[in-house]
Amino acid sequence: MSETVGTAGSVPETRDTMLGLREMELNFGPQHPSTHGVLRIVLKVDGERIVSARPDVGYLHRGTEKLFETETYPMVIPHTDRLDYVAAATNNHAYCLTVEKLLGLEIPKRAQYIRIVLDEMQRISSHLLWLATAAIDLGAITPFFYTFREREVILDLFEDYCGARLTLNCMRVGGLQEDLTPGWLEKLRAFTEDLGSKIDEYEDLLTENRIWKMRTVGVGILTTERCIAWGVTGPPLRAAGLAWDVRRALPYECYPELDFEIPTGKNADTYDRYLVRIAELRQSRRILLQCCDWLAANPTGEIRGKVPRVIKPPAGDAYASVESPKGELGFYLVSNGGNKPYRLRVRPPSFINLQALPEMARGHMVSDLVAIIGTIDIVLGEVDR
Amino acid sequence: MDISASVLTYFLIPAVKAVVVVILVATAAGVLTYIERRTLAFLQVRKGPNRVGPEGILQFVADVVKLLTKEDVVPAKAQHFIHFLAPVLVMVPGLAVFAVLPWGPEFTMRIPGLGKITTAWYAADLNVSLLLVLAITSVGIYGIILGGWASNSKYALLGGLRSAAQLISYEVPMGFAVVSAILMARSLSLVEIVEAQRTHQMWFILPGLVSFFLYFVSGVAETNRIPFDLPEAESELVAGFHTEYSGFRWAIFFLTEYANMITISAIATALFFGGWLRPFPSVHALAFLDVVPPVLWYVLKVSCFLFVYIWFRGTFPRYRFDQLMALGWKTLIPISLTNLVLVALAALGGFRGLRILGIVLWGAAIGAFLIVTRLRAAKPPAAKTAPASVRARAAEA
Amino acid sequence: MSFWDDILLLDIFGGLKMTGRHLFRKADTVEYPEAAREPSDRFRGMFRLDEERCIKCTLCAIECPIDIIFIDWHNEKNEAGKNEKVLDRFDVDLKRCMFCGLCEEACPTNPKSIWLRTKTYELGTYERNEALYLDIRKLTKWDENVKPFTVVEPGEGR
Repeated sequence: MSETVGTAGSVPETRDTMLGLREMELNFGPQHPSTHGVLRIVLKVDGERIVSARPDVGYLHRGTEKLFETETYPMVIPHTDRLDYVAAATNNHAYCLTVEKLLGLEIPKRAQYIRIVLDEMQRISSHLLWLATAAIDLGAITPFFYTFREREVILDLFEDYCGARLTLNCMRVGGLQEDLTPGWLEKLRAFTEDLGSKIDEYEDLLTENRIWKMRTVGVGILTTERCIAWGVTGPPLRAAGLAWDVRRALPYECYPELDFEIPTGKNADTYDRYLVRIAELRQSRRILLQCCDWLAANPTGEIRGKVPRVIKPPAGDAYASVESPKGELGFYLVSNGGNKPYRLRVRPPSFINLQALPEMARGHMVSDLVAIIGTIDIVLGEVDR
Repeated sequence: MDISASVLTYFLIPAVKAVVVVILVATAAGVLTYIERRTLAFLQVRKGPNRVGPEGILQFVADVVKLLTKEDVVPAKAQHFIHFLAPVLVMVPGLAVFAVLPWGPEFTMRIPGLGKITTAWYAADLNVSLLLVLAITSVGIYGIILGGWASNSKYALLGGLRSAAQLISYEVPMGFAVVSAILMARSLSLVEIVEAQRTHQMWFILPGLVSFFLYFVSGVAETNRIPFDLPEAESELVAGFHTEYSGFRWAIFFLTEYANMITISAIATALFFGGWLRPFPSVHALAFLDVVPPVLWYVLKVSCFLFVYIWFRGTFPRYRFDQLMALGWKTLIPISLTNLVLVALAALGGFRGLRILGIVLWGAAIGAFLIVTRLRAAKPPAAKTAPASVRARAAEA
Repeated sequence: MSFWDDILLLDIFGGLKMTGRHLFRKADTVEYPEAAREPSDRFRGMFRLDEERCIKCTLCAIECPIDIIFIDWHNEKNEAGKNEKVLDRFDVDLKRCMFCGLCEEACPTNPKSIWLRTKTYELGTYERNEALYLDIRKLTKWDENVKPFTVVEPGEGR
């Protein structure tokens, strides 16, 4: 162990530790089973205790924001699918909201409800994926298969609706491209009603389990103040006790008409973030049931507003955001009046939440780092863009 | 006894047994990998390997062939000799232990031309066989530490260190648990311990409830299995101590892990579950159970333990390194010491003392279990449907 | 209460019960080559083109976000003496396609003349440059390149 590998420009500090031994520099990723893609973390460890952790991002950088500037407004939507590729619907939604805001478009009610349905389905599928991977990171391999069983149903529903399972491309500026297929709503309702007992199954496996609790309680604490200082949003912020949810704080579509709660935690640790996400699964289920009722009561209607044939927003800028499964996902659009965005900037929740990693990981052990990466719920497509 | 007979008894038959044991163990470990994958798959509502051979039964053969023909990569800066030595150090003790495992009682068979020969379903019956088991299995850990160190990889090094710490913490409660079984049987020989359970007319699980629990938990830890699989924790250390191993050297680590699982289960069976004896060996009404040969009883019991191993893997998350140590030192060792004193006192009272201890332990456990589950059912915890905020408040109250 | 739960390992047994119950459930696996899933009616799969219906407007090529549709045409006088567009080239570079479906949406003919909504997902080949570069010949052959192959007319299933 004489040499230090890949210090990435930094001069390795040599500091004496307890036994007069040197700290070891450990490259965590980009090829590592639990970095959720190609995240690299440069760790300095004293034995197994983390002295510092520095995330090194950019392995998945594709220049998406620059690419946006070369595409006309409708052509941007497929590219937004590839930001947070496990939650494409919310990406589409945030982008469409931004353009609609600049255009001043009115969205038909039915389209709003269908959008909410897609969003909440996406939230459930993304949280299920999170639960699966977070549990696998901590060594519990079985929840993965149970959650994927349910996620599969959601993906099938997406496929029925828009023809794709992951990169949905399901929303358009001004509304939606297509209406629901016949029988889709019934399938969704059957799944949603079934989901409650399935969530109970995951909880039976994990919530009370002593090992799960030992691994998560008190790990990676990020208090409300620090969350706000870092700009952390989404479940990590809510687990710290602040009921900030874009769906309530900056309402969009018809979320104000829907009845749901914003679950919050108390201890701001990994366990509370787990509880918050599980509670969010239940809340999303509640929203879905309400939307099913509304859509069943209003089976027909416009799904696309009065969109000009060529979308040319007036010169100016707009910012709109949605509550994506990971946090506040926003798009900031600058238009010069042409048919292509002059600049389109993404506010990626994964990236901003990831910034807090060094602070959360300091002083913990290497095993906890895995839990902390898992609990932030990053998707590298969104981090690196 | 003439010379040819002693050659037969002391050389030929042990040699044949040794070869048979090695082959059987290697095959059993291979089959166990298949069974584990299949069982895990059933636990996880999927199908598992089912393509190679009928129901995928030949999957492990395919795996072995693949691993044998795979390139054997050794890192450039590895300590070559020790890197080579480590799998050997792991495998030899793992197989050697099987010499003393008592799979069945003595039996007599007639070999044409040689006459009647009395032999047994074990390769050797040492009067200190339990000591031998403990001693030899601890050697295996050197292979893991050295393999981790010699790979010249930080992940492997961390895995090796974890393994060393884990072994030190869990040998102790395991040793104490074994000692309590020795106290009950008053012998160090595995064969005699099994026979003692016949003369005591009960399996030692009755007075040894706590000892068995301690032994099994430590055993899971010793074999590096979930929830104690820290040395190879996939999501943390990539593959732990065998990160830099490939091809058949890796396969040796892998197969030995499974062989060790069999060892731990086999010893647990011998110590606490009556070895090759049928259930309730003294009850004549159950004599029809003798239809099943003793070896099959043994295999059946061992299989149950192996299933529990797999079941654990399918259910639990993994402990953290320091938590594992804390569990070993702060929980298991005090419990094992207390248990040892209890068992020793009961053993003073001989057969009756052990029986009383057993009845008290089992009565207390079952009674407490019934009461607590009853209380739980009467007062349900905070509704699962409540949001986390509500639940956090409820937990506080 | 929780002390006794701890001693009796209730959480451990609860978890074991949970997974144990799944031991006897039927596997959800679809064993692929023998049993394949039928894609939905709107599934976005392999490209196909109806050359006769196509009016050579090139809207699909314009709308494609990654410019993988290449269309060349020239004018020819037909029997009535009118100018008629004739295709020189209609290529789709499928290996770069991201299956967004914007080309099909942009097609002005009714029914559409370019399809992405075919129920084909078995696009694996041993040689991608040839097999996944679709020229007009491959685009208009309905059954040969990939099987099973069923086409959903746009408008159906809506």
